[in-house]
Amino acid sequence: MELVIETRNLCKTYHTNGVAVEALRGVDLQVAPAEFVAVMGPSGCGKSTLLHLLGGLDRPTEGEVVIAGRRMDVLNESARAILRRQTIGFVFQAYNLIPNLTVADNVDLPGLLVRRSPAEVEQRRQMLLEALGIAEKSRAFPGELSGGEQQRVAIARALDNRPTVLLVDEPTGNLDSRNGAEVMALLRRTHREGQTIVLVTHDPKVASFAERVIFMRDGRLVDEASLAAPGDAATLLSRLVQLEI
Amino acid sequence: MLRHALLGLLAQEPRHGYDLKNAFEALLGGTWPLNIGQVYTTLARLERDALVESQVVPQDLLPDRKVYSLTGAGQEELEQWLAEPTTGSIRLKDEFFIKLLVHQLIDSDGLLVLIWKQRQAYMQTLAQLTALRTDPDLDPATALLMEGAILHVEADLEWLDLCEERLKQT
Repeated sequence: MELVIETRNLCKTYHTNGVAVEALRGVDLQVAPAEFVAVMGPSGCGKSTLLHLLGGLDRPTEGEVVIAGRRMDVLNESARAILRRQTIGFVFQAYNLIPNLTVADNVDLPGLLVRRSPAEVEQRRQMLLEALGIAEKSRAFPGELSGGEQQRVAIARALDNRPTVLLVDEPTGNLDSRNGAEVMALLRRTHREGQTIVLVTHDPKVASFAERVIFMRDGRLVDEASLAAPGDAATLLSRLVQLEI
Repeated sequence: MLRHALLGLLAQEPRHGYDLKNAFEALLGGTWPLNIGQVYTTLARLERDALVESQVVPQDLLPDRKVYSLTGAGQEELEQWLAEPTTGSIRLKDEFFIKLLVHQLIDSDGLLVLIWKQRQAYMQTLAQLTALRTDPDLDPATALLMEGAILHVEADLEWLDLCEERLKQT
């Protein structure tokens, strides 16, 4: 089985004011198709750096990044941008929507950038906004939406080009707990429909929606846990009752 | 706890044993299954303490059944219990913590591995709780209970991070 993501000995050192900071110290990560992986660790552990390298937003100091069988780290800036548009969808904590474009135009942007036909882009957008429960907001501007709604738009935009992998950075960091849970439930549903997701977070509750959680400390992956595939409510409840928590 | 919950259900209306078991389980949204023996033992004690009384009701085809109801003393006991705040457990005797300390005495190398295993276990529990919590068909009482359980596991995980940090420093 071909991996969606593979990194080998990934290292990243930043130099600021003559001081070298090792953000990543040899990360070997493998993500299989249709997996939902959470990388969890405290701030400064290197998780956001890792996500940026996976998405080709930055280049490693050492090591390799392979996305869907293609080396990302050896490409130049413009080649990386093309590979990124074709294979990666990003969801950030701050939504990063374009404020003077409507919801519909924000979501359409990735599709138009890779020159899909306007009719197909529109059809895809309607389907996504419908599925994410924000169809009636398509003519609104981001500033008119709540945080939870803006994050749904960001998810729709990230899914527009049917990315090989969805990269997600602290998706609920700006949301209250109810909206956060709803956004996570949507991501889980997207995963169940076959989407590969890599998410980084410091928040255990957010990570608990993944199938596999990898613990990160000081630029290294130190441990991981596979989280049991949730069954129906009755099974879960009886399992929890047995745990006597 | 069970004792007073049963008093409360009997304050609502007189009930027989199986009825009480079912009403209790429904109240707790299935999070606390009872066996009928527990119910009868508790009822016998309540009757001994004159907090409930029973009446034998004959039935046509089935064996006679005992229907329990609250006495005046039972009503008073229930009201007193309801009016008082509970003293929550602050867990000064925590098994994991004791394990951690003993580990440190005899095998400090294995300590980090124990912390990692514990973190895995907490994450697995948390995953089940959040999955259940986000189930749209969950009844509201159970949902509230799950929220509480989630907050406790989150606190446990945070404390585990603290243990790891402190132990690294020593």
